Parts: sequence; structure tokens; C-alpha cells
Amino acid sequence: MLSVRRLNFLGTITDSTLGELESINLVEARNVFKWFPIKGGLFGRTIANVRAVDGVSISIRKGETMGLVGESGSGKTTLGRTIMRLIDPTKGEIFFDGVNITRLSGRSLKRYRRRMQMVFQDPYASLDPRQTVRSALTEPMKIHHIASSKKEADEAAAKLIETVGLNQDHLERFPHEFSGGQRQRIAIARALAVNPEFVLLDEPTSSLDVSVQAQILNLLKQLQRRFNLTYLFISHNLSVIRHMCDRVAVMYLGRIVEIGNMKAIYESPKHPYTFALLSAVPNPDPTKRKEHEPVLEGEVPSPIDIPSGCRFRTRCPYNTEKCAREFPPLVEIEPGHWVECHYDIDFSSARRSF
Amino acid sequence: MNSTPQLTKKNVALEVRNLRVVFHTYAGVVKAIDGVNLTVHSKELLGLVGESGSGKSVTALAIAGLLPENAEVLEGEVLLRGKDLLKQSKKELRMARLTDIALVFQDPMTYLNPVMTIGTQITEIFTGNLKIYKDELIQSRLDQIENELRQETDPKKISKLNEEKTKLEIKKQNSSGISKKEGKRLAKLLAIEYLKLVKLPEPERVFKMYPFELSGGMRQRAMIAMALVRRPAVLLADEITTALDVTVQAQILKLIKELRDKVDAAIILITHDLGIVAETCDRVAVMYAGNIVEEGDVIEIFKNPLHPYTVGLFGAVPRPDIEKENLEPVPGSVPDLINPPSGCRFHPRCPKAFERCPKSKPPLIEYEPGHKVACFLYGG
Repeated sequence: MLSVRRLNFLGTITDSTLGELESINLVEARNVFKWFPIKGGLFGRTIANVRAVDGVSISIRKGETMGLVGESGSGKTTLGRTIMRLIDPTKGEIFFDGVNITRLSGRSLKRYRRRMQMVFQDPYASLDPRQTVRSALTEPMKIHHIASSKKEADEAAAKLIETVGLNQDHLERFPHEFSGGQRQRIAIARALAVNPEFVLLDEPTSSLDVSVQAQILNLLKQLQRRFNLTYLFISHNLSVIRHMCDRVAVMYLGRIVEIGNMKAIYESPKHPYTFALLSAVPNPDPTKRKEHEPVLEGEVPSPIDIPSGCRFRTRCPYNTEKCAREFPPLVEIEPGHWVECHYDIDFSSARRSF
Repeated sequence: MNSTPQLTKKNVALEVRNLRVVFHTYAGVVKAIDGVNLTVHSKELLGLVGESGSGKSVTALAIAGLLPENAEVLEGEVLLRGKDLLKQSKKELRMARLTDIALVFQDPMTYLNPVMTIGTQITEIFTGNLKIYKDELIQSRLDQIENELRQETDPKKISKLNEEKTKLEIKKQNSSGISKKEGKRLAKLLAIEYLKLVKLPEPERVFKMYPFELSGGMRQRAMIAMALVRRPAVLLADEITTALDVTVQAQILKLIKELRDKVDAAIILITHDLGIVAETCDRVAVMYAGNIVEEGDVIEIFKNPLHPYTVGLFGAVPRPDIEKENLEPVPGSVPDLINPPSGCRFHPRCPKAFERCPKSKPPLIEYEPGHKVACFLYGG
């Protein structure tokens, strides 16, 4: 095998094989674009594009939880679905376990479908109301030929339902008989039915109450350890992301503006948007109330008409002429901590509650 | 707590006494509210916090007299300006909603009329009720003129304003009403003043816009303006930031805090987010399954929560500023209120429940001055 030299985390050079290098990243998106055309005019020509994902590269290492955070319209769900190959990218490539899956289809794609699964936000919409829990859990096993017989599938379903904290009596029931938290447990069990390696969690707790949210978050962490899962965790809730993730990517208007280790992002954010986002979170400690802190003005611009240069400049308190003129470079500020901004702004002087 | 004497000195804006509400459904009788007591003072921001199904929105609807057809108020009083709203006729209640109680909801698009401009929707309140609002409209214009006169330097404009002032003062004395046209003009000026107050950019333009032309945050600001323009005694804000992004939420919360000082209304902020309560409220009432389980000063409750449910809620919430290795969820889920648990409704999920809890319902008692709790662990 080809031997390559790379820097490890300590900065010393180690020899490793390419095979090993590939195995570090389970999922990778390279320069992915997803534009949704808007048709109009007399002949139905494309008159504009919704640039939902606009040049994103992200890699997710085996066994880690990558957080994807952003406001509504930032493109985080579209990026997630593009990575899952639920929608095709306009441009760019997606790799799963070192294999380019961007152009796969049919049977060859199905092999990868088994290895990547998804849990959706709304368990009231994502479960078929006319399907029993047993059927919801065994159907994916049948489709992917996981179980050789009905008996084996049933046994697996019984084990699975207990893994997610429900019991075997629940198998014969229909979704309407369950509460939101229980439904989400079923949705998680269904995702795990085919022994996936990668699970996309798209706002899995956003529709749940806080006391139940904590149960689901704990369950997800426990399952990750037990089955050695890799997560991409999409959320708009920064507290949840902090609790769940090893690394965090912050999206704004179709691009990742900052990516790095959870600690680095939360303790020393470098992009003005990340900083604003973090200081906008209400802190459940009334003694740390933000009385006179400036808040970010305005709202996210339309992804159809994206500002020139840096797309955050219209709301950025630090914006200069340069920001409108030039696209900001992606800079590695510390190892593994990337920021897309022209300036290196020190936020430590700014008052904040973190 | 030395804040209690101050609190009692303040004006009580609204008092809810022993409110009990049930819903008649096909599945059975849902015991949604089971004896809620609540007092809010003018210029106070009270947080009403709880999970879904805890009865916080039903409490708000009962206060506003907007409960749906299948709801029934078994007992209780909602006292506003000395009158019990629950005993009033439909007409009187409508009047109270017009002048004293204002509501802002989670999703402004559902409550704004899509085919009317923002301006028309605000001024409609006044132009449709000119008799009631005659004095108020004139007075607010007179106040505006006073303000403008203080800033104006152009002698031409000053004389014009003075002219308007004398005209209005005559009308004020006059017992007959004002013309529709004049009412419309005054209402527009007042509406624009309030659009300015909620910090909408270019209020004159927003006045002419339709709801679909506004963003989510702007719509919510317009709703708040519409609620406050009547100078209500009580503003009920039900999950007003839930549909908004965090950065926009921060803007709206900042606005609410500023408004508390500018208007006389008591604000009841209903939310499921403890962060919002900590960030904005003066006092907080925690609801669980139709009861208020704990109530008191925000700083005190967050520092020293007493009720096991409140304690559980704090343990379950991930924090933006502190890393928690493991969250401690409250076991189980919210009970079915058709067959609510006997005694204390929290007892099946409570880690500290003992033999007394399923037998009788703990009353809300003042454990420390200004800190009330409904739990047998603390007496009662």
C-alpha cells in the first residue's frame, strides 16, 4: 500500500497507509452545491436559483458526532439530505467510506443506503400511521435482506425495541398509541434496524418537551457508544449541539462559515456570526442576564439573492468595503478550526455570558 | 427576600383565583386546569413556564375569555379592575378584550388578516369603535403634538401644530363624536407611533404593507404593536418567539424587556424555554399538568428550586454555557389529563414521592417570603 506522511494531532509526522487515511472519514462532502431552480416566464425558463447549499465541504470521522447548526433557511437540512443521497447535488461529490457515491444508483446505491440511516424531526409525520411498530421495524430488514426468516426478523425487532427503552408489548401497537417521545424512540429503532454505521439526526428532539428531550439525547449517546455509530446532528438549538457533539459546523445562508471542535467553537468562536448566534441563546441563569448587550440586527437574507462577497456582511457589525468586494477566504486558525472571514476579530473583549 | 414588600405595593393588574377548566372531548373529560391561582402586577413580567399539556395556554385563553366551545369553567375567578371576567356577558367580555387584555400568539401569520394591510388592521380597532376611543385618540394626538413642539424649530410648523392643538382641544370638550375621517387620521398617527415603538424600520411604509410582505420577526413586532396600541392592562404573550430564529428571538426578547418599562401593562410571557424566563422575567410560575407547582422571584427560583418537578426540569435542560456529561431526564412522560393521577399530579414521576402524595393534593403555600411551592415535602 501507498505510504503517506501526515501530521498527527501532536504535530509529529507519522507514517500511515492510505487505507488508514481513508478510514478516518466515514462521510465526506466535497464542494457540494444544491441549487433549486425557480421556473418562470413564458417558456418556463429558469429565472433564478435558490442557492440552498452553496459550496460546502465537510468530513465526518468515524465514531464522532458532527453538529450542524444554523438558522432556518441556512441549508442545513438540504445539506444533510444531499449527503444521504435523498436529493442529488447540483455540483460536487459525496464520499461514503472512501467511495464516491455521487453517481451511484439502483442496486449499488442500495448497498450504501443500508449503511446510512436517518431520524427525522417530527415523529408524527415520519411514522406510517397504518403500520404497526413490528412492521415498521421488520420492513427495512426485509428490504435489505438483514434477516433470513420472519422469525429472525421478529427476534431482532424484539431486541431492538428494548434497546430503545420500550418493551415487546409495544410491537403490536400503532403509532397513534404513543407519545411524542415514544414515537421518536420507535423512529430511532427503525433507523437502527439495518445496522447502519452513519445516522443523520435531523432535529430529532425539536418537537419534544425538555424532560423527554433529555431522555432521547441520553439514549442517542448510549446507542452511539454501544453500536459505534457516527452521527451528523442537525439542530438549531445550540445548547443541544453543545451537549451532543464532538465537532460543530456553523452554517449561514448555504455555506459553512466556521467549523471546529465543539470546545473551540463555544469557547473561542472566530466568525462574527458564530459569536452572534452564541450570544443570542437565552441562558437559563438569571444572574448572567444579558442586559445591554447588542443583538444581531436584521434577518437572514433570501437565498435567491445572496449578498456579494461575504454573505454575512449585511448583518455583520464588523463589515467593511472589502467584505462586499471579495469573497472571504477559508482560514485555518488553529489545527482543525476553520473560519471563513476576512478578519481575525477578538471577541474576548466583547461582553458575553459564556 | 426583601422584594416582597415592594411587590405588594405595586398595582395588581390581574388576579386569577382557583381557576378550574375542563374540556369535553369524545375520549372523555380532560381536566386541563385544576385550581390555578395567579397574580400579576402592572409593569411586571411574569413567566408562565411548563411543558406541552401543562395548561399554560389554556390559562391564557381562559383569562381572555377565548376558550373553545367544548371547554367549561367549573369554578374560579379572573379579576381585572375589580370585575370578574368569567361572570360577564359576551358584550362586556368583548369590551374587556378590546380595552384591557391583549394577546400575541406564536404564529403571527395565523392571526394577521392576509388581505388587509398592517395599518388597516391596527386602525380598525379605533375606527370601528370611535365612540369608545374618541378621548383616547385625541389625547394621544395631543401628547404627540406636545412632543413634536418640543423638538420643532421651524416657526411655520410650530404654528401649524398649535392650530391643530386648539382644534383638537375644542373637539375634546365637545360631547359629540369625531368624524370618521378625523378618526382615521388620528388612528393612523397613533398606529405609526406604536410601529415606531416596536422598532419596525420605516413605520410609514410598514403601515401600508400586507402581512406576507413582512418577515417573521417583523410580523411579530407588528402583532405586538397591535396589542399595545390599546394600552391594555394585561398583555398575554403565548410562545411569541417559538417560531423565530435565535437571533431574531433575541431581538424580540430585548424589545419585550424595553417595552416593560415603557408601557403600564402587566406582561405574562408563556414559554417552555427556561432560558427565556431567566433572560427576561421578574417572576416565574412553573406549571405541571394543570397546576402551578412553584412560583416566585426568578433569581430565587433558579438558584433554589424547591419542587421536584422544577428541580427535574433544570436537570434535564442542556446548557449553552456549561458542559454536562449526562442530562438527568424526568422519568416517564406528562400524564393523560382524562385520568390524571390522584393527589399530587406529579407523584408518579416524582423521585421523592411518599405515601401522602397520591392521597391528597398539596396546596400552593408560601414556603419562604415570595417563594411559593405546592409539595408536601415543604409542609402544607
